[in-house]
Order: sequence, then C-alpha cells, then structure tokens
Amino acid sequence: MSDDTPPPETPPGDASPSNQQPAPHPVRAALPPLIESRILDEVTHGGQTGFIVRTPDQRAILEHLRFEQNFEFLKDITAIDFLGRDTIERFQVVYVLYRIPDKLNIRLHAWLPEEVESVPSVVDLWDSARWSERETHDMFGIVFDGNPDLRRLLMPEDFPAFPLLKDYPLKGRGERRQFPLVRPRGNEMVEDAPLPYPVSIGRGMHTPEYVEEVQRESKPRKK
Amino acid sequence: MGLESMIGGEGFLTTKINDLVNWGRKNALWPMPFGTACCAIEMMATFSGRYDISRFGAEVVRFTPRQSDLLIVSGRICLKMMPVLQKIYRQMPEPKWVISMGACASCGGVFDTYTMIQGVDQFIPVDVYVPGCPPRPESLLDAVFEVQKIVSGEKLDSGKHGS
Amino acid sequence: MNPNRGKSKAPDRRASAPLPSKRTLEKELSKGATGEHLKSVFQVEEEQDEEDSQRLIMNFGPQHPATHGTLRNIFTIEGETIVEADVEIGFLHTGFEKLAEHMTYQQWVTVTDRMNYLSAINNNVGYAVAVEELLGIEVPPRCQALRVIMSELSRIGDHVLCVGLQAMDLGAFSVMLWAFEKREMVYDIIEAVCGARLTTSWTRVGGIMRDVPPNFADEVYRFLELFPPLHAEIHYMLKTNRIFKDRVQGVGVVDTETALSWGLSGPIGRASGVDLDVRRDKPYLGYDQYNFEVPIQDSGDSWARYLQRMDEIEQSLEIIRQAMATLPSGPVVHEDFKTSLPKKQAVYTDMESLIHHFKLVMLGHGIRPEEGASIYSSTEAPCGELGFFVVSDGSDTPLRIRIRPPSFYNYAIFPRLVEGGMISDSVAILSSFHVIAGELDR
Repeated sequence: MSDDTPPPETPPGDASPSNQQPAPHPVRAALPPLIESRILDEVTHGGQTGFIVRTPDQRAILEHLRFEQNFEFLKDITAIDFLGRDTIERFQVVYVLYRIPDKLNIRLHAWLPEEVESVPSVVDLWDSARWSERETHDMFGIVFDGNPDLRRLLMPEDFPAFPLLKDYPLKGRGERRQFPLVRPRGNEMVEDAPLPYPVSIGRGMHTPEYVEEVQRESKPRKK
Repeated sequence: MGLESMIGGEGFLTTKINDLVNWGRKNALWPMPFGTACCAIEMMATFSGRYDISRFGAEVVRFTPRQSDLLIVSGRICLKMMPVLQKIYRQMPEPKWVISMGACASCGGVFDTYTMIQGVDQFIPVDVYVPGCPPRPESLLDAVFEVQKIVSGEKLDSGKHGS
Repeated sequence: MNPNRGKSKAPDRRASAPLPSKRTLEKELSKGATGEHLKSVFQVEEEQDEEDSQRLIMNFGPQHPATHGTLRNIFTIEGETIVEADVEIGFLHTGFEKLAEHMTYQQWVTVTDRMNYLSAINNNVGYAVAVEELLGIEVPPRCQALRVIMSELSRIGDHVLCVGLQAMDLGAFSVMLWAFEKREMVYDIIEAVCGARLTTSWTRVGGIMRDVPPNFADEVYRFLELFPPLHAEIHYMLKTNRIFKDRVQGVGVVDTETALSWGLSGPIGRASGVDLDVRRDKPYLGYDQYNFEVPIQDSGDSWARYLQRMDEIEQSLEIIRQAMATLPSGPVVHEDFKTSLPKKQAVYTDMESLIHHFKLVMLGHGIRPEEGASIYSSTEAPCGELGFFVVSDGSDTPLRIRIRPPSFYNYAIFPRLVEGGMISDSVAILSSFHVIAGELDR
C-alpha cells in the first residue's frame, strides 16, 4: 500500500529488503560522496526510507535535495524527544520531503543534542518551513537559526514551558487554573477566586485525588 | 392562537409586570454563539433548516455580545481562548444567561491536557449544561427550553437585572 | 474614509502639496492602489505620516463570524486597504499530539474525530491507514470499499458546507441554508452507519467498528439520486451570480510555484495548478481500482478554489457509484486478532477469541508495533494532504504521533495574500481557504 515507486532509472527489485546485497537508495546514491558520508544510518519501514544524520549536516543534504534532486515539496518538519531512552542524542528533527515526478517520499532525521542551541533553518529553501519550524520551536524549544519569525505559534506568548517535551506533564503545571472567576454582582462585574476544582468522575479523571478516591472506594467495606 | 384568543372580547388583561417582562424575554432570546469547535457545527445545524431554532424564538443570532442575552459556549476552550470568552461575557448586558454546550466546555471532555480549561464554569457562571460530544441539535433545543424556564422564574428586583 | 482627515491640522507644513480631491482618491483606489502607492500620489511626508497616522490596527477574530473558527487576523489598515497582515493561531490548541503519547493506538481513534470535525471519517481513515502501514497489515476488501465510500461521502459533505459558507460570507445566506440541508443527508447516512452525526470514531486499527446496516445501500443510492440535482442547483445559483463572481474572481491569486513552496495541498493546491492527489499518486485503500479524474484549475484565485470543490464533488460521486457497484462481501475486520477485536459473539462462545479480546483490552498487551519503527503516511482529506507521522517505541502507546494538518500549511500563506488588498477581499479569500481551526491548532 505504501510503496513509493522507485525512480525509473533504477531496476526494480534492487531496493527491496529481501535482496542480499541491497543497492543504496537512489536518493542516497545521487548524493555527492562528501555529503553522502555524513549519513550515519538509514531506516526503512513500510517501503519508506529515512536517512539519519547529525545536526548541522542536514542543511547541506537538504540544499542538495532541493536544488539538485528536485524535491520541491517539503511536507513537514517536526521533532521527537527521546528523553530517558538509550539514544545517541536527546532530540531528532525530522524533515519529510516529496518529489512530484516519481512520487517519492523520503525522510531526513537529524540528531540534535540537548545542549546545542540551534539548528539551521530551511526557510530559504521552502516557504512551508516557516510555520512548521515555528511550531517545532513552540513545542520543543528548538531554535531554528535563520527563521525570521520565531515567535510562539500555538501557545500563549508568556507560556512558561515547552509542552511536547517528555518531562512536561500531560496535565500541565497548573497553567489552566490561572484565570479569575468573572461574575455579575449587582450592577457590575466582579472578579473572584476561581471555583474549586471539583473531584468527581468525568471531571479531572486520573488526578491524584481521583485515584485516591477510587482506591478508597474500592476497598471492601466493613460490616 | 395568539394573544388575542386569550384576551377574549374585553380587550384587556391583567398580569404582573414581572410576568409580562419574563414572557417577552423568554420568547425572544438572542443568542451569542461562541462557537469554537465541533459543537459549533451542531449549533449551526440547530440554527439551520431541519431543526430550526426559530420555532422557539431564539433565531436572532447576534455576533456582537452587546446585543445578545444568551451566551452559548460551544466547543473546546483553551488557555488562549479563556480571556476572550471572559471579555465577551463581560461585554454582554444584563440580564444574561449562559449555556455550556458539550462535554469539552462543561468539563474538558476527553481532553484532559495542559492547555484545556476543565469546565468553563470555574471562570464564568453557567446556567445550563448540555451533555454530549457533540450534543445533538435536539439537546441544544432542550437546553434553550431550560433557559426559558429559568427566565420565566426571574424576579425583576433580583441582581440579575442590574438593579 | 476621507483622506484629508487628520492632515488638515497642520496646514502650514504641507502648504506646497495640494490637497487631493476625493475624486482623485477614488480613482486611485479603483486601480487597486496600496498604501505605499497612495502615499506617493498624495506626497504624504513620512514623518508626518507617523505623527498623525491614518493607519489603524484592526483585529479580525478570534471570535468573528467570518473566521468560522478561532483565527485571529491582525490587519494594519489604511482606509479600506490592508497594509500589513499578521495572523495568530492557537486559540483551539488542544494538545492532541501530547495526548497521543498517553493513549493506546486504538484509543486515539476517538481523538482524531475532533480534528477536522466537518469530515471526521477522513481523519479516522487516515489514522487507521497510518497505523496499519506501521504494522504492515492490510484490511479486507469490503472494509476498504466501505472506508472509501464513507470518506467520499464525508468529503462531499465537507465541500458542500465549505461552498455554502463561502457564499454566506459573501452575502448569499440562502446557499448556506441549502448546503446544510444537503449535509443533513450525509449526516443521516453517517448516523445510520456509526450512530453519531459528527464525531464518528468509526474506524478501528485493522478494520471498522461494525458492518454497515442492511439499508445502507438503499440510503446511498438515494443520496446518489437526490444529490446531483441539488449540487447543480447550488452551482447554477453561484456561477451565474454576478455579485459572487465579482467578489471572488481575481482575488487571492496563488501561482503554482508559490503554492508548491508553501506546501499547499488538496483543493487549494490543485486550484493553483499543483497536480497532487494522494488518492491517485499513492493509492491507499484500493483507490487505484476506481476510475476517476483529478480536476485541476490554473487561475489560482478564490473562484478557482470554488470551481475546484464543485468539480471534486462530481468525482467523489463517481467514486461512490463505482465502489457501490463493486462492493464486495466478506469480513470488515482484519482477521488477525492480534490487532483487532474479535466479534462479540465469538468472545462469548470461543476460548481463543476471549483471550484475544482480553489481551487487546488490557493495558500492556495491546497493539505493539516493532520498536523504533516509524512511518509517515498520508491520505487525502477534504482540506488537503493529511499526514500522520507515527513513531513506535515497542510499547502500547506511541512514542510520538505528529499530524501534518493540511489547514496549517494552507493557512500559512494567508497573510501574504491579503496584504495590499481590501478588507472585504480578505473575507473572500479566507472563506475559500476553508481553514478548520480544530485541525489547524490541534
């Protein structure tokens, strides 16, 4: 279903994993040796190939793919956080590219260490990188060097954290309780402290209070 | 079938001013649709042909809060949207009523995440909750009936009317 | 707006420059003059412009009827002309991707409904296809055909509503009421199939929730009979409408090069000449069995986007016709019960099925793709290419799911398009882009 058709110049069957001596992926084979040597690894799953590099190297590869190999369509940029896993670095920035004539999807994964400040931006290669880099910055705190407009995109400007990091809790750190209760009193609107966060089924599922309540309720009752 | 059939031949009727005002208000609710997500589509379906909320006098949709008296909060409300909702609630003139439509507006629904408000009733007063994800148009119509019941019980000298 | 307003306060400084007449201004504006151009025509000095400026900042949204959602457009306007545009999104940010890391593969189907709530089935199908590609399984032919039929029905509902809203924003309110009436027909079928009108949660990983009811074929054939005349009626109403045409023709033009670079896909990309359709280019769910065309426009304005949607509706009807004619029988769930739930009746009577059911439902034994596997899978949603990038860590919950929302990429170009135009044009452009906030912000 997902097989991306290989370009016509390669004989069919060469890229299949069953072959004992697999030929290099046509996109990889077309890279100049200097750039090609930067590729650490190659992952293939479901007929789709991803190249793995370290972070500043992806810029040269993407430039080559854009101008020499005619990958006109940048589908997506995103990142993955591997916190607490046995990986060589913490982050991976992922680029999904598409070539229209031969309908080829490839991915480029770039390892990004936690302490490195920024990755090179690709805004000058594809305009669609503008917002996807902004969103990746918003969600992971990764700085794209060269993006002209790297404000927060989805979260409020003053939001204190980067929500898609693995060490940020799903329910946040209390940011969603920051508003006053607005209600009418007499002829004017007044602000009060917000109503207490109710603990009941269907509201605030899996809060510590809820878990405690369930544990208390599920004990056998004394007669 | 109108008022004249109740008045009879005499041409006048006696009632309390309170009842008269409430009768007028409850049959002419002007909703302010604060639609954000899926529930907004069902709200639009309620306003359009098949379910036709105008049978119950609440079809005059005003997109400015200053002309409306019924706020329908339909859809997910997130961190960025809550100040907007509060501002719109403040701008509505008294008396005003609020319907919290759908699970997300009422309690956060399935989205117990860092950015979702877990129930708008923590931050603005809500009169009627509508369950469902999203509620069917019939449920919204029922909520409008509930609001009409609340309206018909209002007292003119209560704080609701800005006295 | 009177151009002399505010300037007359300091007549001594501008004594040499003649005051422009209202007629000159109107002439310049009718040529499509922008703020910069007007400044040069009327020799407005720069420092004076800063001192008592005619520019004002207008917020268009986040709660505005013409945004159809929660978008905030910040326009710097001079008179009626937009000089600078900026957009702010995130007013419906819900944390879908974070939530995915805490839910199992099967559970997250419910969340995908709430993304593009106008065509929830397309999201369900897209997600199911992505996880199936990750697992390397193929669903039975009946399931594939049913998914195709329901996706295309959903696409028709989405496009019809979009056209209705586009017309409503430009003043033709009755078209919106008609469109909703047509949509109710789609809703009826969807409700008969899965029990809900909007948030369907219809697919499962490895199949669909249950087979369609017995009267499904009758309902669909009735729809196929009733819908085309109504579609033609809407089309006739709008394509012969002078006001509608004047408002949308030549507005918001995107050329092919720009559209490719900004990543526009779906009807919006194809209206600009980007010849991309995932259904044809990378056939999933057996789309290659059906004989359909991918319509394409070349003018790239709002009118082309309207025509594109109308043409796509016809192609979708064609696909439904073919799929209904060749609808195979058989199971609707992938028969390997390591990934999909066995039938409830079998669970009650059969030991093997009971074990499978139990293991799938218990946390810690469910669907587990191989560790480190990742795939970017895309399907054609009504708004454009909907992609899911799924990374597995070998456990019940995915390591990361990234959604490539079509509306997100389509909307990014919007500020560039409205700059230099009029405020009323921005409405005509925005409504033709059909941005779904739930998908945009996720």
